[in-house]
Amino acid sequence: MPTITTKLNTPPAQTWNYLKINDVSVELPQIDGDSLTEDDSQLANIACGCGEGAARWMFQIAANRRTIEIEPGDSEENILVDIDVDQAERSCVDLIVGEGAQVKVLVIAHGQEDEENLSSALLRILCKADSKLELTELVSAGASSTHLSGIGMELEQGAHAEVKQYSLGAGLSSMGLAANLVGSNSSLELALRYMSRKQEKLDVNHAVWQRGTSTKATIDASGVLADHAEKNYRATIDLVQGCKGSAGSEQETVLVWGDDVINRTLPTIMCSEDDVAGDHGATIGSVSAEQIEYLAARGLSQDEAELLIARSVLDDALFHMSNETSREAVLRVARDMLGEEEAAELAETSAALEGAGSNE
Amino acid sequence: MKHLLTISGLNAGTEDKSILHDVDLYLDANQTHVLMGPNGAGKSTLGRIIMGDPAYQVESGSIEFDGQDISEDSPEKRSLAGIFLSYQAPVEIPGVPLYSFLRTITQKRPELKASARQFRIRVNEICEQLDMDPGYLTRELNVGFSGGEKKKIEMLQLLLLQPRLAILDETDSGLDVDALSVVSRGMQAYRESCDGTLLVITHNTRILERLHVDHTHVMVHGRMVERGGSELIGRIDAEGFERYGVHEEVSAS
Amino acid sequence: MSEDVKDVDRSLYDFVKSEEGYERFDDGLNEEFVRAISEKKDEPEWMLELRLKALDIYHKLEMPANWGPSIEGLDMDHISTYVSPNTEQAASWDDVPEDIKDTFERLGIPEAERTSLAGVGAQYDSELVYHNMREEVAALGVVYSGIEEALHGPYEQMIRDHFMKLVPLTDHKFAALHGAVWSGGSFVYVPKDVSLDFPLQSYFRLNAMGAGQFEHTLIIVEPGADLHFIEGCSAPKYNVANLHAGCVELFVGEGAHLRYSTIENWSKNMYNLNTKRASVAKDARMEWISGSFGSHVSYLYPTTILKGDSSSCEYTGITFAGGGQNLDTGCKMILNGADTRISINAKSISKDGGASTFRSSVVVGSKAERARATVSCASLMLDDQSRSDTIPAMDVRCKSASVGHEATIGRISDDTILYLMSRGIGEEDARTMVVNGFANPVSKELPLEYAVEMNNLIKLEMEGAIG
Repeated sequence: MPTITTKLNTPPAQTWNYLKINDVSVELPQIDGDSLTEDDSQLANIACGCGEGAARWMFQIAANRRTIEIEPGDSEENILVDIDVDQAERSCVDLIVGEGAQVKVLVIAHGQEDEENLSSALLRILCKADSKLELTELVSAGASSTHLSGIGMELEQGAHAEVKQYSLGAGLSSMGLAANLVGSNSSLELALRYMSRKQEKLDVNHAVWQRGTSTKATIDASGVLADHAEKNYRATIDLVQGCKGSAGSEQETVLVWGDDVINRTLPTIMCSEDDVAGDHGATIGSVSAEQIEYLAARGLSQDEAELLIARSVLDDALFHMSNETSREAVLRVARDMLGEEEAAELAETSAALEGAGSNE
Repeated sequence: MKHLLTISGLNAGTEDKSILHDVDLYLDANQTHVLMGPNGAGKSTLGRIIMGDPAYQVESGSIEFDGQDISEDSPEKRSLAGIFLSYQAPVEIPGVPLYSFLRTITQKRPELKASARQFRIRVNEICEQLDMDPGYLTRELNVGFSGGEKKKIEMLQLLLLQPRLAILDETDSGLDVDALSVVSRGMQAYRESCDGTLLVITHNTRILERLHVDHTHVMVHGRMVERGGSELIGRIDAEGFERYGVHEEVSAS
Repeated sequence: MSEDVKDVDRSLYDFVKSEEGYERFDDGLNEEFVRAISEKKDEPEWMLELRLKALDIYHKLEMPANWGPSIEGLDMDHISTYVSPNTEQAASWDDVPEDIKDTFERLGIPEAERTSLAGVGAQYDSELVYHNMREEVAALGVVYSGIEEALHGPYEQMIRDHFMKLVPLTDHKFAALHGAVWSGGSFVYVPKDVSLDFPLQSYFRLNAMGAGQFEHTLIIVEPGADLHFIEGCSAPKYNVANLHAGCVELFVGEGAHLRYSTIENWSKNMYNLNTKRASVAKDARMEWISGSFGSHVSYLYPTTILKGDSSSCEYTGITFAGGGQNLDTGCKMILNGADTRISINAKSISKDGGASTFRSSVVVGSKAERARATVSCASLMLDDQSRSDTIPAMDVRCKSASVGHEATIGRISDDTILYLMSRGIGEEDARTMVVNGFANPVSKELPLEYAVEMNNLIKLEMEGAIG
């Protein structure tokens, strides 16, 4: 099938091209002009972090398109988007969360075959006034597969979104997420956790526009890079003129755990408003001397400290997975990385802890 | 009788400054000791040196724990041998859930190894003891926790590990009422739950109210100037360190 | 402080001298011009070849379209690449033509030379008009001269070995342009283990309307030597575009130390597309102090390549973007040696619709064992009409390296202003005081008279900032 080279995950503000951080190129199968579907969704204009061209492709290619509407005031705990990467599944979900409604969404892209499969998930979400969204996403797939994730959300007045993304493996895991905080007092808590090993490549673009007054956004990314893994991470907070009283914050921690990794970061803060607070902090490289000292005082050597941090990515993922497929997808990585015994211990620990996280 | 900890003729400090001079200190098992002294006396340094903080150097003297000279041992070796130091400002470790951390440090100790279920039960008990929300367990280690919450996490580790020697560095006079009660409850629970020895470093006498103190040590300008019983606490509370040539108010808040 | 400050005349930088009798090339760019410049300077053949090669590259390269402020207003067909005041370079101010001498007197250069500098070079449009160094410094074997002059002496081979080697002609479009039409600038050579007690300073004045200035600064600091070099620049304001595309190449030898300070106050019609780069050997230390106040558009990112083990670099910069300005500044650091250290401390201030961007890259190679980098940038927004972006890229590939980064954006808190006002300070003075305090980490690194100049510039920019 003929393909088109498409650039994904381009951040709102770019920089020197030779740094190779401005986008990621992916060969996407060309879609036959005759089979194009008109995108008449009311969410068609929501920007997704993967970029417009990629989002259009992901919409067109999706075999499975759904629109889910949650009535005002309702509560829905079990929205599941399940992508079998081994089957090259491609989905598109439009979600409208009514006023004051509460939803929990789990998006999982799972697989284990070492095949060049290309799967995708496009998610466009409108959170109406005072609604609450909890979104958990997991990517855990085979070493030659490519999974493209595109998420866009718009938050109206007082809406709150809590997003946790886990990327534990794939030949290329591309995650683009954009959030538009248009309503006053809307807020976003966005967390990314990743483990990249072997020749895996992770490419992430987080773009948040704070437009309403008194909005809050926090982006918090941490992860581990081992072996020959490559990671490109872009986080942008744009404090747009008029967003008085807003605060945006980005934090990043990376543990470089291999001798041959590529580890690029572009943490951008844009600002055209004076009555705001924006900040960014990053710690990249080895475990800090203070952390080593503290962990040593609790009996851990430097190697054990690093292993704890690496293992914790899987622990944390397991704590937050709510169905059997997703837990199994995490444990598959654990078995491969830590061995059967450790993985079994991980599973037991998490099972014993069941319920603790819900009090958060 | 062998002491649990014996420090003799200790001279130590940082690369460019000597802090401790000819310090002698011995602690026996199953006791509560208090180390008091004015600001800058070197109390916290002593705690750090017992733990093996590489920022400090021992110039001369010895530190024996359970009959073994540990002065060359790494901090993790001392930790596994049964020494615990609580930190005034525990470091944040993003990405590491508190529960994973607790599980890891417990599984490293053969005497504490437990099944996942037993471990969970034990942690639950301690959480209850400390009046701590189990929701904390899946949060990242110390990240975004308040001062009082961080203290709870230190006390949770103390009760979980049941070390043979627990050094609680509580020299920070900025402890709020909440944190104060967490620490004092933790100390009490620790002394009741095992026969470990507690060394409380403080200049805040309020923190000691619920505790039966066996011995009190006073340190001034890096030297041990007095060893006595619990009566010393009351006296220092009333007189400060004037008797030792230091004019400083003792914090009772 | 306000007594001193009020004496500053806005016309300090903004005055124009007649160009009568000057040699001025027609606007635009072609091979004929490039050959003519080379011929005028009686250059060695290799330099002409370099220029022609550069011109060729210039025509082939495009400016990146996906980032940076627009330079659409810059039309090379309306820029004269060479304007000469037609005077011999002098070693005494008495021999400098009256008009030009008056310019530098007003900028305070001869005065500074007498009191606190080891040597001065002064460039007017495309050519150096004055170059001099104290005798006792020359006696140490230090060379400080025009680069063209040095090309005709014993240092020709050294220049050939270094010229446009750190900044290759292909680096970007305006580096290529510089290579083709460069004129003026300084050559500095500090022999092994020689320390200069006073700084050397080059001052660049662009007087001509619609012209470009393309000076080249080449500094070689031999092992164990120590130099502080100061660069100043200004121009009167015109309503057509002027262009500055200079190039600075710095070679810091083993265990040597170089501090490079710049106070840039180009007029607000200037496109400042300058390229600066340093190569730092083992145990050596590079420091950049950079104050950017002027120009309409700036692209300015001093680059440091830490080649040697245990080498270090510190960048301290401030950028003040007012109305009509779009200043894209920052730095690039490449850590290749083991145990290398860098710190970046950047501040920016935006007001009256001005836009400032802090752009950086910190690249830590896989061989840079135990490398340490700290990046700290703070941006101050003085109103809600302006822009401030922070775009710091990092690429860290070494396991034992550690990079810490922090950035903040905000405004002066009302509480701070209220507090100062409650102590009897007027609002404008209070805001100026806070901004000066914000800029202090940079100004305290500058020699006193430049710190005063910088504070005066801030004061000027802040006048009428409230209302």
